[in-house]
Amino acid sequence: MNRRQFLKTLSTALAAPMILPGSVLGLNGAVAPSNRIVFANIGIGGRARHVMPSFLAQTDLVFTAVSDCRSDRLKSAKEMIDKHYGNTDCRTYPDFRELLAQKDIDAVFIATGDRWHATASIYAARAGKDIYSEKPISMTISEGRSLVEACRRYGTIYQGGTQRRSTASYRFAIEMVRQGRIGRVHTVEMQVWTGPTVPHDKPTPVPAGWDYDTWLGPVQWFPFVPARMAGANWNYFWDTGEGPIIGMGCHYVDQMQWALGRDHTGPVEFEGHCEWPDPVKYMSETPVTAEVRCRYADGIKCVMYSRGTFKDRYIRYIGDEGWIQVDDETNEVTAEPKTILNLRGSAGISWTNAGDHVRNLLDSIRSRRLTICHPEAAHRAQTICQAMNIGLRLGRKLRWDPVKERFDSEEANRMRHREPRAPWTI
Amino acid sequence: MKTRILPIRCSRGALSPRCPESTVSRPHAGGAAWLQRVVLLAALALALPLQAADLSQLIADTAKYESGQSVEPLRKFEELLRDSARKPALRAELEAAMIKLLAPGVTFEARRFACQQLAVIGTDASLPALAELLKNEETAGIACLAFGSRRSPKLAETLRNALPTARGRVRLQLISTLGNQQDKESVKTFAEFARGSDVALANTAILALGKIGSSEAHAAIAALRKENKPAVAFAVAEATLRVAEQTGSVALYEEMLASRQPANIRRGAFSALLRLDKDGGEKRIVETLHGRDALLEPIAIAAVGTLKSRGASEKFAKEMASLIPQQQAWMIEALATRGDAAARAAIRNAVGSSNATVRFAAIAALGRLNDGTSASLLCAALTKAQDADERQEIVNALGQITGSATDKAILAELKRASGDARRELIGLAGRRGNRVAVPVLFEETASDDVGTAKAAFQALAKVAVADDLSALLAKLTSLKTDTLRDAAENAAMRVLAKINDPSRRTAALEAAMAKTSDCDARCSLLRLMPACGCPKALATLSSALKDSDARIRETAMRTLADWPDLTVWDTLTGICRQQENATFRALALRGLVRLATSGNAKPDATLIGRYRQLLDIARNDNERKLLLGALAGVAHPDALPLAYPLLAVPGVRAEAVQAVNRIASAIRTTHPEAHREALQRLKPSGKKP
Repeated sequence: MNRRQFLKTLSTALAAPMILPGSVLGLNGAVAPSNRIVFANIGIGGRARHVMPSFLAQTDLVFTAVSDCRSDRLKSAKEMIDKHYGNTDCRTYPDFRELLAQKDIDAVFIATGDRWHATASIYAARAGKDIYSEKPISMTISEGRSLVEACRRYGTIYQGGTQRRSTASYRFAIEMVRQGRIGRVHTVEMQVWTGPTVPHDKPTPVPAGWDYDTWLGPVQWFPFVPARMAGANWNYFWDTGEGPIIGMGCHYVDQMQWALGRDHTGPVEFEGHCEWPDPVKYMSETPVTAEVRCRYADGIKCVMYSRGTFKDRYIRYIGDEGWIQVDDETNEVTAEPKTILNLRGSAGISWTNAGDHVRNLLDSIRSRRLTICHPEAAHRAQTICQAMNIGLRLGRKLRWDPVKERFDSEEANRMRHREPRAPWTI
Repeated sequence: MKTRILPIRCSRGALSPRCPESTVSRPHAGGAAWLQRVVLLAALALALPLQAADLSQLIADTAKYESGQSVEPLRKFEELLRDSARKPALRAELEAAMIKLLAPGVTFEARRFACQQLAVIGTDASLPALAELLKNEETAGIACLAFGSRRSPKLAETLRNALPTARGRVRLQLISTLGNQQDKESVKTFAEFARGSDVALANTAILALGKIGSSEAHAAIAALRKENKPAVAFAVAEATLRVAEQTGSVALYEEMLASRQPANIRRGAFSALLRLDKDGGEKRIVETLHGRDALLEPIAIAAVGTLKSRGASEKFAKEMASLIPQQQAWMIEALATRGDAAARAAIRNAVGSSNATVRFAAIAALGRLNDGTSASLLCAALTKAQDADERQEIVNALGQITGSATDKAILAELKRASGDARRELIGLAGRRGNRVAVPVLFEETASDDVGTAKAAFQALAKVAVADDLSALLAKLTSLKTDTLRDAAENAAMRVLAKINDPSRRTAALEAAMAKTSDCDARCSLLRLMPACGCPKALATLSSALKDSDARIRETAMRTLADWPDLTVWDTLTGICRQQENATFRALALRGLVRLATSGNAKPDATLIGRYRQLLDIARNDNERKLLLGALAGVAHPDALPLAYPLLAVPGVRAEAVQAVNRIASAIRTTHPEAHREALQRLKPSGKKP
């Protein structure tokens, strides 16, 4: 495919939804309560607290309830929200199903651990709530497809939490790709960090105040092991996470899909290699370092490295006339030819501020148009990362049919699904 | 081997999935088994063929696994499983091994591991062992994990057989798994469950019926729908929607669209009907817009974007007049998705709307459409924009529209515009980078409005190239006041950076220098000399130190102090040694310290030599303090002797101590002797040991 043909495959404009300034919507003044979208939060750990200010800053939404299976988090979440609004109105629900049953709640912000994202979202869709869910949006390919179907079935507005779609630096890079400023893209290179490891640890009784059964949710039971639960360590065990390849990789893969106009499809081939944790020292399961490659049907390649430090992460689009790169730590955009950078307007807000992403969701809730990171797009991006991990775990090259959503391997196809624990039926 | 039964206390399922008490038998391994393990691991490492005894040992090691122990045996199994993809015999052996790991007496975590592997490699051979696990609440879940997404008649039969005696969560698990298996044989049983008094059971069964999708399941769901029981309403609704998806039944979706249904059911049904309608939903959309169903109107408007009929854009553009502003904005987005000529025409019309919401939507849409024919319209709108937000929106939209026609439209409008609009257009011209803007931008640098002139210089910084340099320098040197000087110098600096040849850069500046005797202009040109980066530019600055005009001399000195590389070193040290002007000395010394410090990250003998030279030059305690502050960052043992003499100088002792401390700390592991000596020196009697 030559350059002209390549550019034709991309839509000429970034399909970005419109973000109207607040003043146009009359939001500089107070918004009438009847015009506010009522939100609740499910899962109020570290990530939720980081993103919550982006929600609370929107004057046309109000948070009225929180749910968490840990009583300590529930208490501090209520305090945070009550303090923001200057009242004591925030309701708390240890069981999120009770929260979903509340008729006054329009939408939910789901920031549980990864294992809950798809299940909680499907329950929310059934309950008639619109959704902002943190990424990764699902734990398996089949779970992701179930999520897409549920949102379609119920006409749910859903925003995947890959907020870099609403971040100026990333959007600029993609705009330059789509305008052909670096020629025909042939490779997308991305780097996430070295996978952490978790030393062995023994089971203990569940700490007071933890509803462990709910914490596990759809994951089949395993003993409570403190080191598996500490901080974000659950990320490094296949039951509850998939390491940095998904944790951060899904952001970059999502960007790649969007830049290339592939939100409804994906690559056709995956292969890679990795270094596994030393089983004598560590109980964690996800790779320490990795290099994974995938290829689209038209030949465009992607390589994801899992190496280096947290600060070294980036995505780079390489074309036959140049390249453009976004460094995630600094939000800096570099490019060759450098003149590309002259086209950039203001630096814009950094990815750490999810304000525009939330704003996009709120606009979509009102207009019922697809969000910028709608379920199909989020699922397709997620699928790429999951396919990468499946290939690494099986130790072989895989071919993928993005139409049928099947691999050329029986074992790989079986790994698309994991039977959820009752009663969490999706 | 001895076997001990260990009571393991359970607290809310901490050590066992079931409460209250449970026990696990754990074999106690002796020395012989350890030796066998070593042999096994060696065999595996050497990729020797797996022997029966090897596998037995691996099974034995895995069978006692609990969190806290090495996971080596488990990882070995995973490695073997990876290797067995094209080795049926090995694969069968491994499945047999996993089956053995399901036996009573094996730890829960080992059985869980086995189930995870069987999910990938299991066959019907594992069913009898898994059937045993289904009988126990503790293990039923992990057994279903093993079934995974594999389909086989015997697998479904195994699950069905376990159902009659299952209770509580196990029963829910079995129903859920059979539903995922789409087991038609379970329909009758599930239909009975669906009518029971156990609500959780009923809902799970109904959801499973929805997944099974057979005609019998459909009939069961239809019957449940007629019964209309509130307790199972959500499950019946979902199952019904699944039936509608499976059959494409318009009638069923129409039923679910009824106003008594919850909002999300109605939305889902409506969206599905739009997809199923032969005309793409066009008639339904019009009816909805005219019928004023507030819940469905937004969905209807959004669907306009994907209608296939040719006249759709024109038809729905006409509908806009009857919509409220917010809906008009949504319709504009939908028309933008269509992007055809009629859609664009309607959007262009909306740019002139009296409503801000509508205007903004239209402006943003034209930008996204990259609609070159709208450039003039948008430019004109810029001058009429009512506030900064609207101007910004227009500028953003214009920034997205590519093509030289847009550049020309921007420049044409620029000449008509004034105030903020003019400045915005200038900035936009610069960002777009089309050289056709250069002459206009040069004209604007002469504007009486300072903001406009400044914007023009800033834009030139982006778009001007080498060929424009002499004109730019002419502008710079003809400035009458300093208000624009920074912007002009910056623009020249950026253009100089685009010229690869240093001598060409210098020649341009010297040519400009020769044409002016104005002091301010000459100072500007001197400040640009570092951008040339060549000996000639350096020489020009050195010569300027002797200029008769004090301002020229000071500008040259300040510029030399900011010179970017070490080629200025000798010049600055010369100034330090000879200059009596205290300000010049201070500037030169600071410049030297800056340059020296830039080498601190990779200290070598040359750097040490430079610091030695500076310390020789220093004339007073203030200067020595400055140097000690920089020297403290040198992680090199030879830096210490430079600081030692200053420990004895009362006026700088504190700084010398700090420098010695920091250097010593930095070299502690690489040069322990020097580190010790330094600490010794810092003691009250501190002398060389």
